[in-house]
Amino acid sequence: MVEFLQTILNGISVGSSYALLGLGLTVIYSVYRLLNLAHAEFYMLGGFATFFTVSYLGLPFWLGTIIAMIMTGILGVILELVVYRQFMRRSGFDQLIGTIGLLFLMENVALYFFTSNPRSIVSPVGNSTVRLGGLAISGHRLLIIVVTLVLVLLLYYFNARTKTGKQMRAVAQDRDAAQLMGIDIVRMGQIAFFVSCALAAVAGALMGSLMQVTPAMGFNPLLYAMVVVILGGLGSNFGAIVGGLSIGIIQSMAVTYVSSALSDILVYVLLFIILLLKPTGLFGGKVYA
Amino acid sequence: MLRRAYAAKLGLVLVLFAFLMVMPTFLENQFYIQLFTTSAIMAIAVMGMDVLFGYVGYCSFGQAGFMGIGAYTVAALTTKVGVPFPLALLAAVLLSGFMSYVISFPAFRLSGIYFAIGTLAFGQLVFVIAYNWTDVTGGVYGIVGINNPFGGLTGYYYFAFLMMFAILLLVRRLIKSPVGEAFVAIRENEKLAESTGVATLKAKRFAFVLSGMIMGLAGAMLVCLWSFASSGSFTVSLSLEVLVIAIIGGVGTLIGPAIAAFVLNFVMQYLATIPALRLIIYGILLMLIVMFLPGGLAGTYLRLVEALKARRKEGEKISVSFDSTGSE
Repeated sequence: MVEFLQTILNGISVGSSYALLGLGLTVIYSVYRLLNLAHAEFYMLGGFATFFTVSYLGLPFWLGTIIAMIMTGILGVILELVVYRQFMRRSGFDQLIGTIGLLFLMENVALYFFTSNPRSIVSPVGNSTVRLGGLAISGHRLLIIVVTLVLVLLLYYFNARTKTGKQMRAVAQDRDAAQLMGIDIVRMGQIAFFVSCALAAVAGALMGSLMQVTPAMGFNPLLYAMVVVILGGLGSNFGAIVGGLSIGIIQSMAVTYVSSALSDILVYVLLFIILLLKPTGLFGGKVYA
Repeated sequence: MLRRAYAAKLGLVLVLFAFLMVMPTFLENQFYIQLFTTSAIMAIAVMGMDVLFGYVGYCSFGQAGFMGIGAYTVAALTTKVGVPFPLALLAAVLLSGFMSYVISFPAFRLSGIYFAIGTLAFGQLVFVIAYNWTDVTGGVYGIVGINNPFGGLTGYYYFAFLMMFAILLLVRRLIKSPVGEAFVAIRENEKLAESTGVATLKAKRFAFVLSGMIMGLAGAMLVCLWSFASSGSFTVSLSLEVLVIAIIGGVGTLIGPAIAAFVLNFVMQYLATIPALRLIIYGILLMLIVMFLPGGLAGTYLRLVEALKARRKEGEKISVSFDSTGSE
């Protein structure tokens, strides 16, 4: 029983980072109707920005992460202006492919300048472990869960209570109608990119200090994050969270009880089954594809 | 006029053909023969992608999975069972065709982005299985010591080009047939195609299986050239690379992607000293094409030609209308 709960707890901590990435994808998708495959690179850049601010400037981890969020968010807004807005004139597949181009570009520019040497961010909680009853969880994993929870609540508050959040939901529901109501959809797009990239940066900083920071660190989480958003339903925030956590838990269960090889197979098979039974995902509404 | 254009085209093809046939006898450097052979095989793979994406309009992110299936079939059959190469190749093509038939059932319940992600999941699945099923695939170490069936590189070079031209002609013929018209109808508007009586699911499945078989062939030919099969060779990255080449060349033109496979392979060879640079260039090209040149290079070229023709026609029309009003 303890092992089972422990497995679930580990799954939740890994799943939290998938949920953060998935939320970032969702935020852009709901405003832009674009599945941003280059999202992985904002995650990677967030990791690097945190690494540089923490290790070179000697700033505390939380400050480094916030700086990374702002820097990555601003880069997202700039790229929205320069790149993504141009993609919008094209059809769905072309947009998807354009983001693959950006993915290649960003990852390999990072590879060129930062080289492939892995770097590690010193975790603010060190190697401490927290004991809850019979369960043990490393301080850093707990930190990931807590930070994710806070960000999810903040995002919920932003969406549900603030005027900008309401406007963004209006744009997500119907872009043209929202524009007719006087909502500045260009500004909404910029805000969506800022929020999405900042979320990716936090995930990158947290996972980068759990594992390592490398230019290629984003690709596998991206694959999982895509599974997460498709599983939960594209455009649904709630779906991204549920999808992220369930994939984290499934992987963790598979690793504990069967083998690590099975964990990946299981994730993809699950995705296939969900798509077959409900092609719009668990919590997705209309298909916009 | 038309006949002259046709003769010129035929002449060009014949010259190209002759050039490719005699080239190995003049080229001392094995490196270039290898490069040409790789490019030809990549061209086959890219054409396989073009059948599905360019003509039917379904973008798959997992086609390298079929290349992997073809590759491992040939590798395992020739090294572990001792099946002769032609039979193994046939088995590889048939097995990847069969697998794509099986996969087509779940895959075509999806469309758009969902189809792309679903096939991506399939591609990852093949990779994960290849990585872990050590008895057959050798896992990380892969299968080594696959013999070159033609003894030398030159023989393989001819084989690769023969296959490439065969596939090119086959697919071209198919595209001009009613089946090809059904493909294009689906690409342009699937609902309309269905309501006008096109058996869309059948046509899509046919294209998917054909594409899978071509991909399997390309994968099988690649491992025989490299003489080893490794799980790291047939990942999503390869799927994306094949897709990128097809898009840069111009999907839906068949020749464009095939030429792009050669050009990009050669250009990249000189940039291979800095591996990051290769993908940076791919990335920039891809973004520029999406932003400014939809339809890729071949598509843009065709559009320019069309525009020129239209302008000429318009000029004629205006002069004709002037004449008629003048005579009245």
